[in-house]
Amino acid sequence: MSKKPTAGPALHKVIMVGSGGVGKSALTLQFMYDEFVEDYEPTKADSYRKKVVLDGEEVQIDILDTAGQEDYAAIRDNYFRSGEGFLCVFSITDDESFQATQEFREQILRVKNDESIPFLLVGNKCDLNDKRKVPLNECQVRAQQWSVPYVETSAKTRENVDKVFFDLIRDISSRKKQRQMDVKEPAKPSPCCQLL
Amino acid sequence: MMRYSEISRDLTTDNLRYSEIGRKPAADYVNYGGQTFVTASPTQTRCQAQVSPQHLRQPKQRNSNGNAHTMACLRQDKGPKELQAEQAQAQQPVSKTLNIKSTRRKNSIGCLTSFSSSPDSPGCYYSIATTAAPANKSQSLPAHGSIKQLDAVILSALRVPADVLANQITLLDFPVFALIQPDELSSCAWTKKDKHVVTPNIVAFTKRFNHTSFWTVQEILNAEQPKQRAEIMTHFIKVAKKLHELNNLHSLFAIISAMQSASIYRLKKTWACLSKKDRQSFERLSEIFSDQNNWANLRSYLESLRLPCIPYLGLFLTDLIYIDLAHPHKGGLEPEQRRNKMNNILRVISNYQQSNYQHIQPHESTQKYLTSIRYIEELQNIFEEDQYKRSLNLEPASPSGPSSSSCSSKESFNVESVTPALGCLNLSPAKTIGSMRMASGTKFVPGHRKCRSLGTKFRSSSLPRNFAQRCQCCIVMIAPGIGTISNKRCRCRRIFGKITQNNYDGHPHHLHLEHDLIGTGLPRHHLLDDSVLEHSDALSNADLTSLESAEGILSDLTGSNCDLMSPEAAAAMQGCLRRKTVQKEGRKPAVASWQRYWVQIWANSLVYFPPKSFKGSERGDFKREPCKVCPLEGWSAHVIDNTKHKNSFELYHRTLGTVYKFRADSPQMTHLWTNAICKLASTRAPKPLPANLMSFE
Repeated sequence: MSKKPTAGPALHKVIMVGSGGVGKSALTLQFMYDEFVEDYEPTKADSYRKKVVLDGEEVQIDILDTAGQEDYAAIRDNYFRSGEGFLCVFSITDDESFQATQEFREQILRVKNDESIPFLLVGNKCDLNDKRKVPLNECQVRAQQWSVPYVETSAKTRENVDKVFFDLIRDISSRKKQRQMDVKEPAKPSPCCQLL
Repeated sequence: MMRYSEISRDLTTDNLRYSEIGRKPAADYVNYGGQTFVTASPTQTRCQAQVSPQHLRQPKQRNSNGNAHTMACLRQDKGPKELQAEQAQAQQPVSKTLNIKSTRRKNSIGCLTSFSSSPDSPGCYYSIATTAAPANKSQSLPAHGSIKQLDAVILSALRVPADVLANQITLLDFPVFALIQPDELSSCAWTKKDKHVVTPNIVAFTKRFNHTSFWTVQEILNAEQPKQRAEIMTHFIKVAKKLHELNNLHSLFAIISAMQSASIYRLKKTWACLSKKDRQSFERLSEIFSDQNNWANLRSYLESLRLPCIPYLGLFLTDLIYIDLAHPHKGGLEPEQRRNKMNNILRVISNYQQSNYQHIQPHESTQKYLTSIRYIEELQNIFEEDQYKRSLNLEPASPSGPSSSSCSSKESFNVESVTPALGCLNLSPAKTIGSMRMASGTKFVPGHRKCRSLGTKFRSSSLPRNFAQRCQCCIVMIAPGIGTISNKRCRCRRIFGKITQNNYDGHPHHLHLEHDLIGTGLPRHHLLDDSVLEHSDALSNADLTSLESAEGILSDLTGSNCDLMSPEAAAAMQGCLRRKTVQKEGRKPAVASWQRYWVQIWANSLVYFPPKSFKGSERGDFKREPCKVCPLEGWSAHVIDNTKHKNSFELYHRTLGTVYKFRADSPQMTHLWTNAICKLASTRAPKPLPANLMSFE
């Protein structure tokens, strides 16, 4: 089960964060299964892992989405810790979910201790533009403050779904490569403090 | 700093009183006001907050922590006899249920208060030695003060053997788990706004998880020294092992998560003190909950288990959400795949619900201890921040390490840079007065930005403290704006708004300034929260007349045109105002129109929040991020007698030659604003306040 192909393609771990009901899981499913949702089996070990070709190179993307467990606040820190990149999702039709992104961002930075961690701010449900509650420029301003890209998506129309995942893993991948070129550093974080 | 742990632990809805323990002896009590406004006549109120010597002994820590004490309560010394009588009264049984009325997570709050009233109740945890403590003695940490009275009381997790704790936790978990209905699970509504209605048992079970986890973190952080913390951690690892034996994966994961939380994980020195064996046990247990491969370890482990077992429900919740999404039910017949997959999960859960833990004997005092741990789901974020801050205090981040770098630049709004006056917002409200009269030199607490945000202070300060019994009437005003200008701030404020509500409902003896304001016919805005408007009714029903003590205060406030307003009250003003520029730097603007803002006084600055939409005068109609911050220094205000623009006042700066016109929605509000502004503009160097909080000036 936990056998990991060591020599296989690089594995990039993406974490979906955001309040309940913003469509994190819809984005994940769209990306993973597209129109083949019927194949989805919630309990399979590789249900959230997908091989993709990124700029000519085959990589694996592993998505952790704890949709439904949003209220289990205590578990967040730990799964943030394991993430290499984050899609911070809110719904453009729900201001509260947008406000919550601030908190998620802070928590992630607290755990990762790294301002430049691959991170995208994602405004989902852009097909519902007529019900928009969060003005586009507010989203852009926030993204700018954090120096992260802002992308609007629609899990329904599939707009930009691939884009957000690919942009993120591209970022993760280039960071990893750069780090390899830099000094060799301890790969595994000790339980106390992570040197980056 | 008043830490969360020092709050007494009973959660009661019917005993809603807030209080604040001061950190200084009575003579200095006034200092707690800060932006907090305390009104209560010592001769009239029976409110009593006892000062803990513990707090006196730790002034350094507290000061450096800088907490906002947003509520304060007046303390009054009493004769022992009277005190005892009050204690006797206070010893009525109290309900320990937390009623969450609101369905919105962020807005809702159960109640904040705690009264641990019976001497033998473990609810006393850190709190009150009820019987014989001298009036001004600690009800705080057991290590000091009246420990003798507390002997019967469980004071910390360490005092209970690990297996007893695990057993009793399991006994508490199981009934909540067993109550979860299939309908709740198939509704997939536990993350939605109406979760409290549709999925109450799932919510309750989740809360138990967070509660256990919170308690674990809190217990570990309670110890000052790494070695002691390691000892507590070891204890919890033992509890975890025992939970593992009991197949209580729910609480096992809660404890594991606690140890992996940001606050605990980073405690390098503490982890270093753990024995290798314990660390390995911990690693082994946490492996079960690895999210690798779609929680493969947990899934296979669960399958291998036999009853009794309390599973980690979250895993199933995610699966259900995904099934719901992958096979949506669009009316008509339920798709077969959906039904099958959902039913599989429901069956599994229902099977676990058949578990039987009856072989465990209930242990009453341990259960009491466990249930008395104060935890409020809605304040979870705030608690977490408080814990993180405590963690940073215990083992500061290394200055050169990455952690410090992460603190520096992330400030969304660097308060200090805005105005020195706002800089003090970052400081403890406990010394807000101090900070108002303060001193640019006040120390900024280094650490994570989160810690600087209001949330932290607000939390640490505002929660009810080990407050003396029979606080008949403590009039408290929550200082709304202390801290960084951030979303968090607003959120906290909202939360506390709700608290006030509950107070209204729950306990007529508890008064807030909101009462007073409404009593004076002031606008129906809740000072802290827009949402409370409807409560003005509740308020009028709130049997104000029975509040002998309150009346005095009310009349103080109502009487005259609020000249009695203290700087603290002034500093807590906020509301919807319309503003027009009359003259700017000596010139009339080409175009001037009335602009709506939510205006709030923070320290001695006027902070403007722009509107979200075209109408509405509630807090919620305005943005959470301020758009202007204007120090009040040099400004004055006066009411305009003008029939055309009723309720207006002018704000002007002589040397700048700038004049703004403001419109409030009632004459009283206009007066309050003018008074508040004048007061603050003139009290630039605040004088030491009189010991008697009632009679300012």
